[in-house]
Amino acid sequence: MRKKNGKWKLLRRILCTAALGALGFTMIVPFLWMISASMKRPIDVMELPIRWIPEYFYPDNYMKVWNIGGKAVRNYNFGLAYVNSLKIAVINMTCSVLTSAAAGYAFAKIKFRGRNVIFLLYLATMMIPTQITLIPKFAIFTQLGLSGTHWTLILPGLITITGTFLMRQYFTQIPDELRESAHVDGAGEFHIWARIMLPVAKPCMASLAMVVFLWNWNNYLDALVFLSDWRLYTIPVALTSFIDENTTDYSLIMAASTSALLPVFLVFLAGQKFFVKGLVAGAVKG
Amino acid sequence: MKMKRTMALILAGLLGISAAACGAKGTDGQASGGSGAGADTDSGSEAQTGGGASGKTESGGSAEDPVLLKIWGGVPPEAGPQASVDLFNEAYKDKGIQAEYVYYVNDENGNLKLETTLMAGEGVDAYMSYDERYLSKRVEGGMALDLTELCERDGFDIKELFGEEMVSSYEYDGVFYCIPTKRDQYGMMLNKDMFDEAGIPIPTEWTYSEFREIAKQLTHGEGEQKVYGAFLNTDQNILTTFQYFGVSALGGDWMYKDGGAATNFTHPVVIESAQLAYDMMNVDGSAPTHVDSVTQKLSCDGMFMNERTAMVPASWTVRNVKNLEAYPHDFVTAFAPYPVPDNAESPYIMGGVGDMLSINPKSPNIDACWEYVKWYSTEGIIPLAYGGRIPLCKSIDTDEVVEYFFRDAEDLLDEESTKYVMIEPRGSYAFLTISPKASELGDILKEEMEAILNGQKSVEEGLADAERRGNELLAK
Amino acid sequence: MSAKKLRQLKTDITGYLFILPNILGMVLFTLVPMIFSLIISFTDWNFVKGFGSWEWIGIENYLEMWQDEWFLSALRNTVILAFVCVPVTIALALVIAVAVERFAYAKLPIRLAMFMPYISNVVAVTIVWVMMYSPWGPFTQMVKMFGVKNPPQWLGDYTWALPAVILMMIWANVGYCVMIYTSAIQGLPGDVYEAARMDGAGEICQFFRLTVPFLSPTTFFLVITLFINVFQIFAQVQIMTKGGPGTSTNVMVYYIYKSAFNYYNMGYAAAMSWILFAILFVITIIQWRGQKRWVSY
Repeated sequence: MRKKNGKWKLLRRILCTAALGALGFTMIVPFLWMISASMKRPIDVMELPIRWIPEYFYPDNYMKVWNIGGKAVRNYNFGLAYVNSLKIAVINMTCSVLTSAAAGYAFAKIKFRGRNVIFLLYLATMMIPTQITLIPKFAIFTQLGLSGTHWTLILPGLITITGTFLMRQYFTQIPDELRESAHVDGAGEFHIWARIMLPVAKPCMASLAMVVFLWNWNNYLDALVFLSDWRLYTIPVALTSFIDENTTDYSLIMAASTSALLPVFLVFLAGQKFFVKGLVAGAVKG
Repeated sequence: MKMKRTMALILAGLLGISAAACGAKGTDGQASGGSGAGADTDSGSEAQTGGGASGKTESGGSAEDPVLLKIWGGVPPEAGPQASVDLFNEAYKDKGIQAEYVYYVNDENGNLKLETTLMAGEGVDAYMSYDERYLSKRVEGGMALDLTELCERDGFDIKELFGEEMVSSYEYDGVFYCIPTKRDQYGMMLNKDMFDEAGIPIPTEWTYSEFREIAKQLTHGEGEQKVYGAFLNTDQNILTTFQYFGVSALGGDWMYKDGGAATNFTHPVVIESAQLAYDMMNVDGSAPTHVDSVTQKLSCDGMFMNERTAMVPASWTVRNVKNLEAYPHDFVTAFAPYPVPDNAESPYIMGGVGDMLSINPKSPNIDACWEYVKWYSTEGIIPLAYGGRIPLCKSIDTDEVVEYFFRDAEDLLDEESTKYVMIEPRGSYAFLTISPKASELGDILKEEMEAILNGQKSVEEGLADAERRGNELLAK
Repeated sequence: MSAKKLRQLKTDITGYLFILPNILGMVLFTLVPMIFSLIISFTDWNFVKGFGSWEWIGIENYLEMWQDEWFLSALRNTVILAFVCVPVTIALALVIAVAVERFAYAKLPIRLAMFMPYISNVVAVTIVWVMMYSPWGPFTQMVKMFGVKNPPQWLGDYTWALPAVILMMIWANVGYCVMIYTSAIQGLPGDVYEAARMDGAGEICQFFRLTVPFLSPTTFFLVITLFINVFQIFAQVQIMTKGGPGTSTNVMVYYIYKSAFNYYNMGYAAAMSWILFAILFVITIIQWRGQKRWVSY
């Protein structure tokens, strides 16, 4: 009886893995296409039916993007854009995860007056499309004398409302006992947050870090409008230099996008490490 | 335990980096902040930006340093602008002016970027507009300098130099805010090898029905192997048959009648043009259907260079004829004028002038800018002929233009038809003079045209609806 | 009494100190631009003419849109899209996240794969979907296999274009939800499950009785943020269909964008944004009020 149960479990595991694996595979398809297209000549990119494995290998796209071997008709300065993007994404990821964790904790656990109203106001600000606040934001930066600098991307990126919301929801599901026992020990609120709550919230902070990195990495419209000097361009803006009014060179865009994916991939792998089971259980017991 | 420490280290490291980066940027920000401070109004910042621009280390400071101009344009640098700017820098090395070409994509986002940069004041000294609609908004918004004074000072007669009939539609109440630099010439791009094979001579003038007949003759094959007689580019621009073909009878203001008070969408020529597209796609099968164009994202480059069609209405793809590495091909490309309606007088030619060069009134280097504008419009534009752009200035030597135009593609372009269609002036152009709600009207017509081509409405129904909706919009 | 008051005051100060950096950024870069947009929604303004060049027209913008067929079609399509997309995405993501966590081998590669659409460049992702919907793509082939003579033209089809966009949006968002759920699942108390197993609760029972309630705060978060995100769909439509054919995939933010930057009607665009805001706000308030019934903290 017991053995049979074990066999069934094994079978279930295998079936589940297969089904999820198949689903996962459909998710990778665009990524495979990206790589495949990045190695084709522009003339063949939109060819139908899709040829997944190109009949030839055309590395020139990558060499053009990275300006190696003088293949490119002009220097796209992709390396510089890479550094700029990395800088902004890392700063914003670090800072916004911390500000979100602090505010999320306060909204969830500290019973200060007006918190619900303020929180609703927070949510409300997410509901206006960013396209419409673009020009007002631009006006503010011009008034502050910051237009054209990286500050236009860093300052608004230091906080994230979605992240604050996510952290708040996470902290609400953490039992109050943790905090109360520390209070009894005479610990201050900041101490509780930094020493007890942050470690518990690691999985959530890790996933938040990933998505924040990603948002900043892919932030297009703001970067396009606020930056006017190519020396400060970020990757999404640099990508537009492969486009011109009549033709879009998809093979170059795909080569650049594939190159741009690496840091995101690494951040994701690193983040996964924090998804280790039992962090909370351990904290409660200890 | 160990993990905790590594994490703390990483976190500390990241904070360090961010602090350093913020600090470094901080000085930058303060510098430009200082120059902008006290500029409460737009007019105030005009005076202030002089100081701000000197933040560009090369141009500020002593008078010995050259002025660095930022020229914004929507043509990819390698298609000529870079070569042009290099020539300028060489010629003006000793006169203390240098230029940098900034490429913006001439689409909605790119134009938005240009406009916001113009509003900020710095970052643009001179710029190109490619569309009358964008230009008129910029003129209204005070983003283009009134050139009258500079012209008078230097005896630079725009009408004389570029031809009065050509530039007059860019005169706003007797004032020029831009210099049109390019003569727009368009035509059908043909695969000459296919024409030769079918024994069809390259047409020098043709009507809709002749065009339709030839397209039918050139169509052969089935399924993925099918070669179409013509491709009408309807995914990118569904209005091709009106905007490029119908204008020959209707003129540049083909969308309007009564001086812009009403739409003209039920004019016989408009109906004939819509019918042509419908028949070629859905009756003859000599052009890819609109649905195919949309669902497969068919483009002129892909269709023409892959030899899947004998004709495309996009002579601007001539740039890719020279790009053999990305678009390998060995057939010869020829040109023909656009076909004209069967039953109407067709006095106009699609085209006119383009590439309007303006000066940013907030530029701290207006005099240097003016030097550049004069130079570019009268000689600097020549290298752009390499990418298919023909200078408007009458004093420019045609032979040099021709040389640039054919360079690197001597065997791939049919000389006679290319010169006839693309380079030599041929008749009166269809100028656009009015554009009330042009974008909205275009979108209405697009929608109705889509319904027509997809078989949802008959040609007459669809255009009648377009007219009704357009008139309602104009009446608002 | 006064000690209690003092304690509350201290709590207030602590609370506001915690949210201070956050609230500064929110006010300056989100709230102020928002108020600005509210002001210009009562004007006729072409932003190219510069600040201050607007003309007050009162609530005209807000009245005009109800006669505007483009706005009405955008509103209808957006509502349909959101109300189909959000529930399906979340239900699917919850099942996947739990299944991966509990029943799968090779968790890391599967999760990574799920997240791929979210981290790939949106242009790449969208273009691939355009090609998948083409007559040579898998969808058309599948339909043909079932013997349909005239398979739908998907993105070129008046009826099928919107469902095609919805399917793509579900696919594109599911990975993000899976990841947020996964991080929340890591926080679930293991001992409760142990007790449930002791009582003989099966997997399905555990899923509905324990996992779903435990994850309800996360679900609440995802429902609200996804609604907001999906209501603001833009890039995918711009690349895939440009709102066509006809107006069948015209969505609100796409039309707002066009009004502002293509038609230069900034005031009108702002007014439409505020209608979008009002809709989202009502939806959010309803959920906020309703959360007591299904969200367990």
